[in-house]
Amino acid sequence: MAMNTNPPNTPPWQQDGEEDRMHGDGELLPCGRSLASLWEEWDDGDARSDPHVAECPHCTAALGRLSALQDFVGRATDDGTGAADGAGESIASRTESVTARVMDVVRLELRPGLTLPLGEPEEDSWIVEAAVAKVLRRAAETLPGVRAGSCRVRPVADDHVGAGGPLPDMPLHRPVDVHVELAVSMSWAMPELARQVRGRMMAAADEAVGLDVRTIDVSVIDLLDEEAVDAVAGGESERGARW
Amino acid sequence: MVSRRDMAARLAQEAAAAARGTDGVAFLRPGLGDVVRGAARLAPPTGGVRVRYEADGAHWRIGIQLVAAQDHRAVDVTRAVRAAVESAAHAVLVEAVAGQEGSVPAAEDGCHVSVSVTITGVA
Repeated sequence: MAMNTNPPNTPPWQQDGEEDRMHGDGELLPCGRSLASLWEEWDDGDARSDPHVAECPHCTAALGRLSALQDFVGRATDDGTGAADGAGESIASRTESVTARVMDVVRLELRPGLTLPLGEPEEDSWIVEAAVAKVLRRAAETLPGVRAGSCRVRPVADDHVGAGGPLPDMPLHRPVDVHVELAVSMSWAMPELARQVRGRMMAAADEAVGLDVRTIDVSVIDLLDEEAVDAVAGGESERGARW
Repeated sequence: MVSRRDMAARLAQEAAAAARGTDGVAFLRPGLGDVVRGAARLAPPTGGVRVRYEADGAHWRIGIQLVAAQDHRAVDVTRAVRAAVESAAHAVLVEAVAGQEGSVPAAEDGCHVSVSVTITGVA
């Protein structure tokens, strides 16, 4: 627990602390307002007309975060979680996918890992491998009957750069090699699968990221049975494009 | 007199605001994680921004970590953020030196700013 270094008789809402304080029913903002009641006001549409909120930096910052979260959740539920046949997903499964997406982002934020260069060396722009992997996996899963597992993205090794000329000074500024593992429906013919997966992932690497991919190594490590195939609901699944 | 620490704080604040306002930026890291953990008591937030001064070369280094929006091209987002943050940082440095004698070098002393942008996630 954090040490209480506040002078005696300091009201709780004026105290400094390392952790968020729990007081009574819920967390208090430094101005004394409870976060829960602020959110309730927001829900009721009253927050903007509350004079305290308008002037309070803590409340406005908290509302900013809430609205950002709402935007994120709104987008997550709007895009591509519906079944193509219009049957409508259950609330439970939509909540699940939103939760999964939120946890995805939170997880990535906690564990950045390897960073890959974007753009030119002098640009000093980077992206973590996990973020690229997520984009590429999602691209592969736009194909019907395809589930992507592990996806590794690494700068090409020295001895494979070949006739591309001398390597730049910064060792990581070079193209990347991608290794992806897939589980696929039995109706896929392997050469066609590999061709399509590579195509989707290369396009995503270029259009969604801006990363130079040299090779994509595709390994099929598992087969999906027919029930699993029907359950694979990628955002842009092409139903009916069965091979 | 503007102390180095004050300058760093101002730069962090303006850099965070500039980055957050850039099109294609979902959150500054730890952004969404902080929302979920309810760290709304901090205002204004500079999570995701690091500022360092290198006396050798009078060099302010600003590092930004952010989560990009998924419908934007990642490399383009980093470029837009860099431009916005560089501009905001220069404004801070110029303003600090205008009419003030500071102990910390600013734009007039040939001090320069470099901005590193890392995308830690795509929302």
